[in-house]
This record gives sequence, C-alpha cells and structure tokens, in this order.
Amino acid sequence: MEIKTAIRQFIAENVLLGVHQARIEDATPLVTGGLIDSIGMIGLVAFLEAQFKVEFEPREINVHNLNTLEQIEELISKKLTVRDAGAAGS
Amino acid sequence: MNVRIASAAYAVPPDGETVQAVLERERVRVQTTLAPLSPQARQKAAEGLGLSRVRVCGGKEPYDLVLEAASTAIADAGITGKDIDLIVDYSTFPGENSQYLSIAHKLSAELGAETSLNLSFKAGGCGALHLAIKTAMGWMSTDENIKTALLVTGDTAPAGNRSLLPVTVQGDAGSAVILRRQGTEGPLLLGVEAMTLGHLHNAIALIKTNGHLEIKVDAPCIENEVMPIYYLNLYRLVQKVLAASSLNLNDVDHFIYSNISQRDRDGFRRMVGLPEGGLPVTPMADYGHTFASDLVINYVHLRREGRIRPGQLLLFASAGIGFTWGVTLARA
Repeated sequence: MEIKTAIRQFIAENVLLGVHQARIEDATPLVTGGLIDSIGMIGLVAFLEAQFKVEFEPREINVHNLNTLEQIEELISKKLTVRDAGAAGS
Repeated sequence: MNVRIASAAYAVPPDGETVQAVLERERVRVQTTLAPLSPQARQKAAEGLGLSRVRVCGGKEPYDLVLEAASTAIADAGITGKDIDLIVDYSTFPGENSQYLSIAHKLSAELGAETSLNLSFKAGGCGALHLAIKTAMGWMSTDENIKTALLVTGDTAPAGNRSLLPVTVQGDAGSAVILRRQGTEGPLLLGVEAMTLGHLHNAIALIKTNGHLEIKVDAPCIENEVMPIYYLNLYRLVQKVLAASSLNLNDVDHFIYSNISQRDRDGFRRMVGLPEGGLPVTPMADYGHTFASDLVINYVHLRREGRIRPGQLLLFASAGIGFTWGVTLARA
C-alpha cells in the first residue's frame, strides 16, 4: 500500500474518528491545524514505526517532519531508503 | 545498586496571591506573550489551569524554604546532617537576591554536613528532579564513600514573572529528598531516565532585561514545537523505564506527576490510559506550579494520606525547561 494511503487510513480510523479519509489532503496540516493533538501523536508515531519497521530518533519527531501526509511520506521514504541501503550493504 | 528514597519534604511560604490577581497585574506581559497565537489559542491559554492561588515568598527566600524542607527530611529519615555525603541543588529560580554560588554550600554548613560534596546545576526546570536523582546515583555508583544524598530545589518567580501562560502560573516552594544507598527504609529506585532536546531551549528562557531577570515564554514554540511531542516523549521514556524492569503501565500503582495545570494533568492521565479522576488530587489549586518541587509535594501528600503501601510501584514523571523530559520508577 502506498505510504500516504496507509497513513491516511490510519489517521481517519484511529485519530480523527469519524472523519472520512477523503477530507485529509496531502497538504492538510494535521498538527498545527489541530487535527492531531499531543496524545494522537503517540498513536501515529507508534503506527509509523510498526507499519514501516522504522525507528525515529527523538530529534526527528517534530512538527516540520510530521505535519502533513506529504512530510510524513518524505520522512518515511528517506528512512526506508537508508534502511534498505544498509541491508543491501550488510 | 540499592538506593532508596529515605524521605522527602517540602516547604511553602505562608503568603499567597490569587491567580486572578497575578494575571491582572501581569496583564501586559501575558498579552505580549500570547499575541502571536491564534485567537482560539489565546482564549485557551488561561482555561483549565486548575490553579486558584499561588504561594509567594514575602520576607522569605527560597533558601529558607529549602532549609526548612531539608531539616524536616533529615529528621524524617532518622539521620543527622553529618550523615550527608552529597548535596545536589537543582534550583531553577533560587531568587534574584541569592548570595551564593550554590545554596548547597550554605546548606551543608547550616545542616552540619561539613564534609559533604556540594553540587549545583541549573537544568531541566520541572524535569530536574530526575536529573538530580541520576546525578546522585552516578556519584554513588563511582564513590563508595557517598552513601547519603540530599537533593534540594528552591524556586521563586522573578518579580513580575509569575505568569508562564500559555503553560502555567508559578508559585514558590522549596523541597528536599534524601536518597540512601544500602538503606532499608523507603521506596527502592528501580530506574531513572531523562532526555533533553536542546533545540527547544528557548521555549522557556531566563534572560536579563534592564538588570532584572525575566522568564521569556515563546508561546508559538510551546504550541507548535513542544506540545505536539510533549506527551510522546514522556510516553516513550515511561515505556523505556518500565521495560528495563520488565514492567508495563498496568503495573504502576501511583503516577506522580507535575502540577503545571489541570489540563496538563488530564493530558498525562490520557497518556497513561487512566479514566477521568484517575490521578490523585494534589494541592495545586492552592500552591500553583512550583517547578521541580511539584513531584516532591505530590509524593509527600500521597504518603501523608497513607495511600502508598509496601510493594506498590511509583512512577514519577515530569518535563520542563531545556526542553527536558524525565521519569523515575520506584518500588515502595
């Protein structure tokens, strides 16, 4: 499943209960727009780490990386690239 | 290493002021701080604080409160000043009139702890208790002569700086905790973890303006940078500490958390999965937020009320200036 689709589905089903996925645009500000609060971030980050088998450093978890689906996808893609490159090299 | 919380005590000044009076007096400062926020965020800033009054140092200095708390903690631990090998002062705002490099030095003399090693640091704000515990445990683990440590903090808001909206309103207090290695009384420390994200150091900063200290709150930074990750980082530290002892959230009997505001305590309660009313009532309405003394105050009250029974698991958690998060786990 495409990264943004998986995240959009998770957010709609678990964080923004009752909000249809279609309302979450790629550039919708999730955090600064008040759609995901501080408690919601716990679930979102746990989902991202489990779904994509990545780990976030504390410094990486910030509003600049996780505010929109586009930003989240970019961060996850980067981490997957690094992870896969490491696996290929080992 | 077997280290126990042998005793804890706090002292607050008798004088008080209503939060409403503080916010009225500091109206310009509050408005200036909140101005960059959205109208909704500005309105929310003073809602759900759960703080009615704050205690304020009148004729007393934070040092006086620390001395009072330390004396009580020493008596409660059944020791004397001479037994203290290490004093760690982790005060954030020890007072503009503080005459000392560190109040630990004067404290060692007045308590009779003449040979104690005296340390002081300014870091962590309300998360500083964990840093102090970790520091003391570090010294204990490397120096067999250090068996008893006294951890103190005494804080008063700089004049005209009680409001830390959109976060809290500060009251004055002093507190003391005694840790003993190979002790037999008090909760056994199982673990302590702390983390700092230095890029958020300006979220709450202490600066000097026209010769006077001022606490500068960067409200947009708090709202947009700190709060989105505030509970997440606390939650991850909680999980880390619990996992290191093969425990989980359901094993915790008492969560001891800061008195920053009622809405913050509600956030923490949701974070750990407790139902509404699941956190104990604290004296926050009468004391305000007393920085790192909050945890000591809340722990002392739990003990006074007889709610802590042998074998129960205590989890202390707080976060503050730095920006710093900390969690300490102990078994009563």
